Amino acid sequence: MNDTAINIPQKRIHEIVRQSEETTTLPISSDESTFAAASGISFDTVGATARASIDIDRLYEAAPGSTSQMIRALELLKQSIDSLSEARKSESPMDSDRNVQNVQLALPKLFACRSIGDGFGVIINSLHFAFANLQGTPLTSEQVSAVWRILRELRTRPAMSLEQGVLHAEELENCGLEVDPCDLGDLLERSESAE
Amino acid sequence: MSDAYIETTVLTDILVKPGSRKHQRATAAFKRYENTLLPVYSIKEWKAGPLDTFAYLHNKLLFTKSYSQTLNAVSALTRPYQKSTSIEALAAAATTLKASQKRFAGLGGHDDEMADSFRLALASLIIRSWRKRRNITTRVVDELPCYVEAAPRVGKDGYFDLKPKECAGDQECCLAPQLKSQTKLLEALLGAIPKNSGRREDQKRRQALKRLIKHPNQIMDREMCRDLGDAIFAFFCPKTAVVLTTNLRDHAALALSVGKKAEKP
Repeated sequence: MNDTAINIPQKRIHEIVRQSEETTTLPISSDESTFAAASGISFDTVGATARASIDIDRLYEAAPGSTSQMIRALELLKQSIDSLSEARKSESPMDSDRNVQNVQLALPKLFACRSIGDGFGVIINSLHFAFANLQGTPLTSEQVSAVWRILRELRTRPAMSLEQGVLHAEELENCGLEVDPCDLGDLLERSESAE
Repeated sequence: MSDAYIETTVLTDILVKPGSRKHQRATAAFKRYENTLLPVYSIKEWKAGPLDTFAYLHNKLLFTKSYSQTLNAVSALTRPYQKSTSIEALAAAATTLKASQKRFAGLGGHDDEMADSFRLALASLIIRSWRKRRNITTRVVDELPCYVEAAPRVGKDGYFDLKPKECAGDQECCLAPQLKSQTKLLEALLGAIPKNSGRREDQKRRQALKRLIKHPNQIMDREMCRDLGDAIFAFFCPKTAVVLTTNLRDHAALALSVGKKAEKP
């Protein structure tokens, strides 16, 4: 399957827009967290501290023709996550790598949305260097799962802080990916040889 | 198999030179030793030196929002009065990079994108390397009670602040009692530094050692502690260990003068 077949964003967001009025009539009948899948809203109801958490697609509803960076980023992340899901399911290493390549191709577009936050930027940047340092070597299944997990987390909290983004960069490192540009080491090495 | 007493240059290779040959050599060298001992003095020097240089570079990229302007700015720092500082070294590297037309292999082709990619990579490396620092060796030794090992902070404006980079200035250096109690070792270290050396760091080190020997009752302040620099490693390295450093030029003679040895990774 190619990634263009996965095309939730505008359509799904549009569906959510149409259901917006339902949010006011959702019943809250117990102290347990409930998830209203259709509306994209979940409720944590514990006495006076009741909170509603809104699904990310609901929070950033796309107006028709919208070009907001957040909408664009969520769309691209969804496509990348779907590609990684395919890669994880795939029994053929070649198909798996093909799907991972879709993610790699999306990175420059995702990086263009970096004004969302430095945590977002750090994760996308780290992934770019991880791929660059692999020099074409396909990701292992463990690495595919790690990237899938991290992008899912990023899609849930795209405006995460720099520190949170760095924690995810560490996760990538812990599964054997080198997330730093070799230019940094070069820069210090060159500086020493120039001394 | 002996132990290794990790000097700042090796700590730097391990923490902030990812993917480089030096990083590989340093990592491989650790396996040669039964124990690797990291003195907090190394952490202090590393934070005030290479890590601070990276923070400066990060902040410059954030300020200019331009990779090429940052290289220009850094190149312009090459001034005679700044000799031997890490910034001067970085400036030399920036000039080399500009001359070689080498492009940073970051995300995006535009100058502002390259700046952001480089900046985010630096921010990530600064934070991760700080977190790793105490976990890369088998032990962290020679704690410095007068030095606050504060983590790098990122302000609301996005700029890194690495303060404090020095020990507290209102008290005597915590290493002073041990140093002052071993005058013979101090004399040996002094003898290992060429009297006629034109290098500023040698002159400062000689001066600091002389003051410690001649005026043990005077307070040893943080400037003296900093000026002693390489001599600290030779002095405090355990007898069962070697000073592991990439700077044999300075450390070999100092270590030898007190019956110890320095090795390269």
